[in-house]
Amino acid sequence: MTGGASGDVLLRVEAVSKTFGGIAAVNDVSLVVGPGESVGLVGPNGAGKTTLFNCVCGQLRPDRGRIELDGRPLVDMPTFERARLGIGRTYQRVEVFPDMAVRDHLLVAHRARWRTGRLWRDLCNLSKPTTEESSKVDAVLGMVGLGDRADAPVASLGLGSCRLVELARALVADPVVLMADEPSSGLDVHETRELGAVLRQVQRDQGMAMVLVEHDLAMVAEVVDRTVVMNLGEVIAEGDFTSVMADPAVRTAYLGVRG
Amino acid sequence: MSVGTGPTVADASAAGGAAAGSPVPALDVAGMSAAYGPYRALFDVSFEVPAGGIVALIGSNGAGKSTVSRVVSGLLPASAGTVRLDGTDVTNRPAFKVARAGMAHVVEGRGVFASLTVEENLKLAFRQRAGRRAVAESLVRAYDAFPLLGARRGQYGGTLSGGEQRILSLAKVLVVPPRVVVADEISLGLAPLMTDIVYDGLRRINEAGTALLIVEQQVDRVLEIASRAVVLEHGSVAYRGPSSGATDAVERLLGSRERAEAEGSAEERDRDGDVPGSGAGPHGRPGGKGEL
Amino acid sequence: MEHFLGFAIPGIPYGCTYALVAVGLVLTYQATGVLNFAYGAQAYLSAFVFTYLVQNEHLPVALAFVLSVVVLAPAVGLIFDRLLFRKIAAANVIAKLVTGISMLVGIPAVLAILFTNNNQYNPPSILFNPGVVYFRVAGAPINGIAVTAVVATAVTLVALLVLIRWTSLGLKMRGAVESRRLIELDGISGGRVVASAWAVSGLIAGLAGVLLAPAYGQLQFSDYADLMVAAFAAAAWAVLRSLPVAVLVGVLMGVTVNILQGYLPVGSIWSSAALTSLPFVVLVGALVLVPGMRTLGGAKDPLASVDPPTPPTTATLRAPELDRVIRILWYVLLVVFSVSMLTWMPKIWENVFNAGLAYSVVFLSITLITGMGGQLSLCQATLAGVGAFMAAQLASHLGLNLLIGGLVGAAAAALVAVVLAFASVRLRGLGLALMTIAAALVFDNTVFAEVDTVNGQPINVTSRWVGLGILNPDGRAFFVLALVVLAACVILVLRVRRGSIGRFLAAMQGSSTAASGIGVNLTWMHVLVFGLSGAVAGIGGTLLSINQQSVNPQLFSWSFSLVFVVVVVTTGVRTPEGAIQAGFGYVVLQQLLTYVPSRLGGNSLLIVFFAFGALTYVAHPEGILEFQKRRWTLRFERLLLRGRTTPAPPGPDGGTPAWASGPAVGG
Repeated sequence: MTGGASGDVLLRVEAVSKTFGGIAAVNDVSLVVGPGESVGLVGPNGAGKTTLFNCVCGQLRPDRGRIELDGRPLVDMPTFERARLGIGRTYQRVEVFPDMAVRDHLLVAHRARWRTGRLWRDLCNLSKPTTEESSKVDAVLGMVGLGDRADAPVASLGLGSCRLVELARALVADPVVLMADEPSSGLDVHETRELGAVLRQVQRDQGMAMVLVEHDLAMVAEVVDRTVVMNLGEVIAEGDFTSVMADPAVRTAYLGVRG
Repeated sequence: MSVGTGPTVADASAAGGAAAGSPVPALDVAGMSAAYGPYRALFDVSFEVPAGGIVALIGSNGAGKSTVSRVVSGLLPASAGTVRLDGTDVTNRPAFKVARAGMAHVVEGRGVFASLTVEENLKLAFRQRAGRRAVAESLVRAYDAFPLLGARRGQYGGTLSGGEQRILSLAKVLVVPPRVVVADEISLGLAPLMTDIVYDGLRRINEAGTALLIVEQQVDRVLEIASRAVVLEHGSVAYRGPSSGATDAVERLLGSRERAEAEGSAEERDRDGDVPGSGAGPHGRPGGKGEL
Repeated sequence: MEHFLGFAIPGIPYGCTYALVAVGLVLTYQATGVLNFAYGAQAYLSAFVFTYLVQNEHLPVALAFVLSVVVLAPAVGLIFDRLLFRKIAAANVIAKLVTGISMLVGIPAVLAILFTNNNQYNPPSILFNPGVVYFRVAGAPINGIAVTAVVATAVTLVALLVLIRWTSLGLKMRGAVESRRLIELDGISGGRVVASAWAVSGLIAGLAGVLLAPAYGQLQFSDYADLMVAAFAAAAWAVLRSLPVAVLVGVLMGVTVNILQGYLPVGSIWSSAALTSLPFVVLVGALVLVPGMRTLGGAKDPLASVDPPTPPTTATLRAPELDRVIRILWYVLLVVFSVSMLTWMPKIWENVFNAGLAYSVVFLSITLITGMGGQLSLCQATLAGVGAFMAAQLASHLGLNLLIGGLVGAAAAALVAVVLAFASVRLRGLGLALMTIAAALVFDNTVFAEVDTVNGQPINVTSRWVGLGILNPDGRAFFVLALVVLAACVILVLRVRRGSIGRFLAAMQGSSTAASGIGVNLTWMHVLVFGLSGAVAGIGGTLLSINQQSVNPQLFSWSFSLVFVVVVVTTGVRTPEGAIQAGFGYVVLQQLLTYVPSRLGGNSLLIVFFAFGALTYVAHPEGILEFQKRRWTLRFERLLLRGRTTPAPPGPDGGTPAWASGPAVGG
């Protein structure tokens, strides 16, 4: 599935630019992601991947261009509303809630997404987890392999598990697109491979789209359908991993001029 | 790719202690592991920079190159391993002490004080490294070596271009040569002309006796100037040896071994009518390992 | 024109008092990254010691000056750095605030204990004679104090600018301010530079303290504290960056106040109350309007990414077995307590515990906003006061029963809190704390000072207002009322905490980025928790007034807000338990101290105890008391159930916990 050519577009980024202090971090970048498609976003340092990523998720506001999810414009929408539309996210520096157990992470995400958390319910003692919520949480935990650690406080888990918690937290909200930001950061090679396998499995099973920003090219090769390479704020290549990596422009970007 | 399936580490003489009679290496890193809190970045990294030598440290971003330079200069503690500067153990010492012991780390990105002028940047460094009395003389020598700095001495560091900032950092270490300079992605974002000037500066510093550890993502320049290279991949050493072998190692990391091989035997393939590169797996993983 | 200048000119020295303090605050913040709340205490300390040495020990003025300003003041700065602030991670804004406030509250209390004769009058002046009018400008007399203020400000500003621009130390400080890591790479010890900055800042604080002392007939700490907060306003407009701007704004504030005072009708509400609160309004203005205020306290060092992520400032969770044991103990305690209060408790202690119940309700509001909301609010006493005053107004003007009025008062307090929340929606941490302190001071100087009090005397709560025999001295009705109210509030807090809102708040505290990333509306949560906290505080305020049988503005002043925070942080800010411990601890200790010879300081000792207790917040954010409780309960449990292993914190993951205690894994 290569998206972008015809009809089905889930996430559309069109002519987006973002400048910081005179330097164009992202320069007129366009990108489309189809439903259920996974796209890897790679490139050397300073390529603008994270900036573009943050524009889609809402941490940054692009100077120019459009970003649409299922036809709905995102640029003026605050982050929490984008989440409720179906954009799930994981972070390069893991953002878990240290005080809470794994299960509670998912419960919170569920309630936030479907707006079932209300003050009056709390006051009337009606806020215990429902069977529907519990079964959903258990299902997602099983999907990522955290079932045995469901009640552990997150602060006691290693980084690899924390990344799984973040993933589960994003999944419980049934996202239409998962934005994953350098999930292999801080993991060793073995853990990276495991995480990559889980990502691929989950993405295919749930049929959600995914945009993966990564440095670890091995992981990208295994997980995504399509690879987009950025350098100096622009897209320089797009396509399947092998052909993209063989593209001279990409190799120059990574290696410099072949000596 | 990953260490397990990748190429073997070549050239055993690069590892561990020097042979009897040879001088103490300027920088000796052994078994270094490091993490940012729970984020592990380096796994058992070892290499040496011989006295007065130049070593290239390369790899794609995220591989841990900058982490190596930070641990070496003391900005980041090592969770395991040792760092020796001229034989002295400087592992986990505060950065300013390592600097005083003879380390100069030119950081990636903007490595100068934006709110200080060029002259103030230099004064700050010279006063510390050369002593109060030598500041004036050092300034003169810096402006002689890099006239473009002299022309901008009253300008604020933040208003300099990227190349000029790097030159400013180099001026500090040229005038008061340390034992080791670690240059972190010094050519990042520079035009070729500026890169020439920067590398020329590095060469001059090396001629004065300083050892260089040049960290780069783009390999072309650095492999010209360095005799030895260390290639990092996902926090581990994937290759350690002469620069000539490094290019191959890096190519492999970009998943293009098949292409390199394919190009090498293009004639035969073309005769047979095969599509080059067809030996690769579905996602082009090098080494041709089986399915997931 | 002459008329105008006649008001404007004397405003300049008045403004210089603000400017002098503001300059020190800006320097400290710039050079150390800490907005030093203890600055006023440092100034007071030097002024106090100076006056004491001259008046009580009869030292020559010059010698006393040298000892108190040149020796003591920088030393205090160095102590702050080495023992306190160096231990706090740059990003841990609340810890920095709590530490500063502990010192602000603790140092004057220590002085009060050490020097029981702590009423110093007519502090000596070292420069110009305060009583003498040196000259006139546009017909306005300029006396010694004014000249001192202007000269001191000018000299300090120039000296600091010279230091920063022209000296080697200044160069290092400017470099270290921008990036402490980068300066280390040049071989310069960042720690040394920061220590020097603290010493210089301490020196200026001491200097300001001594020079400004003669302006106050009686040397009181509250003057310095007020001055400091007002100086925050000038510093804020300077975005805590520019010394000359800080001076300019300070002087402008002084001039404006004077001009307004001259032109507005004498005796109107505006002329006194509104004007004394003008600096705090200016502070609020800076926080809302100046863009730089939003990122206050955030890391600016480009090499900051080298630092490992801050370990979460939350404590380990309690093991569930522990929880059960403790809950049972509380129920038992409740029964025993109630029975005792209704039967044999001696009158004195009955009063004490009743007050404890009322204070507990107020402290519960702190549990809500700080423990659950993760924000340091320095106006909880103010919100309590809003509740109490509103209820009293309704009772005295409309004859509304105070109990019902109390609920209206709670709504009023909630409304005030909500307004504050909206005003501060872009601020976090430091900015929010400043906003709340400014609000507290505005209320202190306006509403609480003016409304229906005669010269600030408290309103009396009569039994006519309350009814139900609650004020009957021989009955237990108040106890029942207070217990019911406290129980209701505790249940409210617990239900919120365990419900969705509590979870959303915990998520926000854990990671506001991720919380908004999963769909939590941060603004709404912020407003909600503030509103709830305000309501509970308001109820507590009314209850307290009934208990004290008067609505005393003193009781709701901003200094009490600070004391409350320091108390609750020590006992445990995250749980209702901690609030109750704080409420009872506060009153019981006060009572116990009356049995101790007053030589040892009474109330001041109490404050010192809690202030230094709050210093442990850095290591034990759950509260040092809470920490000790867990330790001892665990030991006790282990003793009782020998052989049974206690649940170990490291989880089933096997690997190293992601946030193993301590900085980096190898550090």
